[in-house]
Amino acid sequence: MSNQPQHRSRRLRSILDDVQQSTAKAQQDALRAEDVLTALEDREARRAVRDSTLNPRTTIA
Amino acid sequence: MPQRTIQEARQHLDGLAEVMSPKALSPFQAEFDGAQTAAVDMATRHMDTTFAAVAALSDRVDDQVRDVRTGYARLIDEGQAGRITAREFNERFTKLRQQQRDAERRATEAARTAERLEAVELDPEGWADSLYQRFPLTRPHFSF
Repeated sequence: MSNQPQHRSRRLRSILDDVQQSTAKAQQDALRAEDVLTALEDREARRAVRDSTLNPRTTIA
Repeated sequence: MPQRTIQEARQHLDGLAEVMSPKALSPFQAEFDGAQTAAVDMATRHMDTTFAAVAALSDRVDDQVRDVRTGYARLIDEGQAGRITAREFNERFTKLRQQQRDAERRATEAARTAERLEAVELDPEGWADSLYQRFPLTRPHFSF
């Protein structure tokens, strides 16, 4: 055999462990992005409320 | 000439060993050894090919995850700085999540293939025999 027994799977496991770590970090990034999105939506909602308070739509009878 | 799996040939050879002299058995043993080596060689080629495929797939996943992480970093920066609207943020976020899920699916696929490779490494002869079972016409020929 060109390699020692289990040589390949050990190397692959090491490669896949690295991929898994990167994938886990990407999931943490996604959580952070989710938080930022929530903050953006809150900010826009507050701004909309503030704008409507400052410039109330006048109804002409 | 009968076609047998390695396991079948071994059992047959063991039976012959009980009734034949070592000298008379010798050519059959050589035949068996050759077939066994060929079976392990076939498994080795399969493992080499599978290893290369999984390593290449892992590289692609790694690149894809790196791109996704770069995308998240930019998106978070722009979102925190208020340079994009929630709607724009959400559109880009959805695309990144899709790419992320795709990378995760590929990573799972690579891990499953690596598990199968490990099983072949543990028993290359058994793996070859499993192929001989599924495709009987590929079984090695024996004169005994």
